[in-house]
Amino acid sequence: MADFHIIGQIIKAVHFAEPHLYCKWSLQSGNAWRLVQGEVKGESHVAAHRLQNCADFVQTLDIHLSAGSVQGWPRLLVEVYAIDVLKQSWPVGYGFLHIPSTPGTHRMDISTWKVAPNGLWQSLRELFGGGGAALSKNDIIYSGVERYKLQTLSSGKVIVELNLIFRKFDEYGVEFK
Amino acid sequence: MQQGSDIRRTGVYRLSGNVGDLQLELKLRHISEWLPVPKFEYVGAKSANEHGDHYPGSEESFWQDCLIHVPRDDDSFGGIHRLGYYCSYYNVGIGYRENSGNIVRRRRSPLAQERQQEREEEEEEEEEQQQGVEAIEYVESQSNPSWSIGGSDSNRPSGGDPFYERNRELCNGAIATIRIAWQQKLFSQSELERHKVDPGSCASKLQRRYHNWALETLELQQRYLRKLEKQQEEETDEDPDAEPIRVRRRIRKSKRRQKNSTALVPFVGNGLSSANMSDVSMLDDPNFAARTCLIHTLVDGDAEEMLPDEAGELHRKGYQLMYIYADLQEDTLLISIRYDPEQGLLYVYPDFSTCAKDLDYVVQIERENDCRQLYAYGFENATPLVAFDEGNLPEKEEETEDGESEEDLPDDASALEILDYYQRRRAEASERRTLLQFEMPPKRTKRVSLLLELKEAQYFENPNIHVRYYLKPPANTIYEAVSGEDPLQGATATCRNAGDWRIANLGHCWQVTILCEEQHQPGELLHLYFEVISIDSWQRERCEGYAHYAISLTSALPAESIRLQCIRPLGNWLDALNRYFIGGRKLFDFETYFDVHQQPEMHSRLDLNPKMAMVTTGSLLLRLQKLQQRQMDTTSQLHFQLDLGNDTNDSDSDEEEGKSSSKTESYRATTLDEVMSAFVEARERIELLLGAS
Repeated sequence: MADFHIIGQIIKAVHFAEPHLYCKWSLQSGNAWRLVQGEVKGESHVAAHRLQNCADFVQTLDIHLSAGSVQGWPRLLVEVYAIDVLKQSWPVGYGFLHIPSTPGTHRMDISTWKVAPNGLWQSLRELFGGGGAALSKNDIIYSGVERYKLQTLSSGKVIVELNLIFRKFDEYGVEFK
Repeated sequence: MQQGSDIRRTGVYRLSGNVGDLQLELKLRHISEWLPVPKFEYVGAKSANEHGDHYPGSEESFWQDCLIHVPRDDDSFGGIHRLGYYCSYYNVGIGYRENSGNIVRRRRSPLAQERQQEREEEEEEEEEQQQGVEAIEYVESQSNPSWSIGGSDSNRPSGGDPFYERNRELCNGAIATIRIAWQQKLFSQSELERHKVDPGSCASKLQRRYHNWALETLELQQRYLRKLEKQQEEETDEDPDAEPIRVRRRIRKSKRRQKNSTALVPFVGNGLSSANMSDVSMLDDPNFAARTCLIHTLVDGDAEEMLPDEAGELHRKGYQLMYIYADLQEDTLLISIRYDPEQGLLYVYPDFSTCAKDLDYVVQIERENDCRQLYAYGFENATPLVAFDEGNLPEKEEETEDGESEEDLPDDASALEILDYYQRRRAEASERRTLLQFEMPPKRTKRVSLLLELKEAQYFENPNIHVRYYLKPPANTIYEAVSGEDPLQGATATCRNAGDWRIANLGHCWQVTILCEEQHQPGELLHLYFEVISIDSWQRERCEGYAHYAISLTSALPAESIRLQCIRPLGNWLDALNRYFIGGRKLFDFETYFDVHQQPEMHSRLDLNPKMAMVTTGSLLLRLQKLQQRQMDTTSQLHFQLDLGNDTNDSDSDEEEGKSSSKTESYRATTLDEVMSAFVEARERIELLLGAS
């Protein structure tokens, strides 16, 4: 079994239109991967910035996985939510990325999108009443041939920094290049 | 048994323990035989004269080949012997002795049978007095009765039927019972013949094991034959002057044995077979199925050619397979079992019976002469299984997760408790770590896994774009699919109000895993095609551009994201008007267009006609990562070669020399093992081919 350590943090979300944001994240991997220690999902605090258009999450990741195959390489899924004064929250950004396949430090940005309002009524509701459409099932984000039927709007970016430690992969003939 | 109950469905079970503990009990029995449709042919006056001595003036001689179906109630044969329903075929005529090759059955009421037996006995006594010395031969013919259950002795074929010779017990109505463990190998007759030959010193472990098992089966058969001979000797010693054939007496003997026997499968007499027991008592060997190779299995260890066609595909998906056959006049697949180790699910087709005795499933064997044999079988699991219920599973998992989270360290824990707690957590963590083994690529292959991410798109003519992608893997590669996904083609979501001067965040990731040869040429590339399409508010599609990227599976890829420039055919002014007002996508064979080795006819890259020009549109941002996995044996062979070279050059210390020599020996042994196993595989294939021809 090869060991896979992910140590890092979800730093911040930038270029989002909404001021108050928080982030839910989860790590997904194939069936041949097991969690040894740590948490594979979490949620950040609500963040806002007084001067810039960004929200600092500083959400720490410390995950130890054991790998049984190169298939099902882990990927980080983030969901950015906006919250208003009435404590209503709705998703404003879905995004995910593959965890890099080379050890060391990586600073990456995840481009996110949100579900586009379906019709004028929903647009008005989103504009004045708050709230937006959400995905009923998260697996739509990363699967399906007919995905083009899903109407999305480009959203902001989430910046993450990861330090990766790979152990014993060379014993199983795995090369990263 | 009702024929309507033979509804076959696949049973899906979640294994509660180790799959190696799985056992199933199988019961098989012969039910009945349908004879050919009677042919009313003129046989001439002579045939009537032949039997006229025995049945002078009998009307039955005209109807001797006619069968009449007489349905009977289940109760007439007792509750559990409702199988008799299918045996109620009735021959009006009476069989004749000379026609020993023709299998003719008749079915009578017990009373009529008794009368008939008495009459037959009287006739036999008269005949025996006449025949005198020929009595022994007649015993032989009686010991090979037809395996028609209710037929008269005179209708039985001679000992020429090999199937009957092998399966006397089954043909005489006994139930074959066998308990089969998971991946347990049971030989067929042909496999037994093949494996009883000593494979020699250059045999694999599996082959040696099979040889030993074959010898054990042969020993079982010989022991049985010796026992049979001994029994016959005892009988002749007991009463040498006694009449050799007494059917009724043998039935009594059987009953007596039944009382004394501790057999697992007691013979239950019924209206079908009790009247005509052969002299080979089935009670002598209740587990005859293992001896006679009636039931045989094909397991994962067997050659791929022997398994059914679907097996290769299932093996590639990671299933473990087991097929259970019965050697009834032709090889018949009774049960197919596959186990998914990832999910822990067991698929059984047909599903387990509630009780093996029910014999829920029916097998019909049709022979060339229109004679049909009907068998029934049932099987039950002998290990505890829990029916798979999708709805309950996640709840159970959640419960266990909750249980673990509840097991937190209390606030007022002592030092010992804290130590225990962390020790237990470490032990659990190491246990989880040792659950799996790393999946290696097959021999002489290399696994290449590509992590692709389509990040952004910008500068296209129209907004509301989505990207469709197609992958074309190089020749001589195998694409490893993940269930439910097809990463060789797909589409991103549509980005509304983006893709023109505004950035469209596509954020689409997927993984492609390909198996290629170890000696894969770097020139053989994986081609990646992109087609950007916009959809306007009237749902009109327009092509916004095509892009192509070729990836070498062996060389390194750029670490940074790649910006791909998209192009599309310019066309003439009419095309431009069409595109603006009507929309739609023009036929463009972009796959051939981007192929440098081909010269497309529709859109040639070398065509200087301005009408065939291409125009640049937007760009796509693609991020690529690659993983490679090699077989470790090959690398060890490489080390072996290097070590051989190093031995002559530098040998500084004795320890290093010792290490390198031991390494060399082990590598050499590995190489020899590989050669031997390849040789054995080739020989098995040749044997199979010769056997098939």
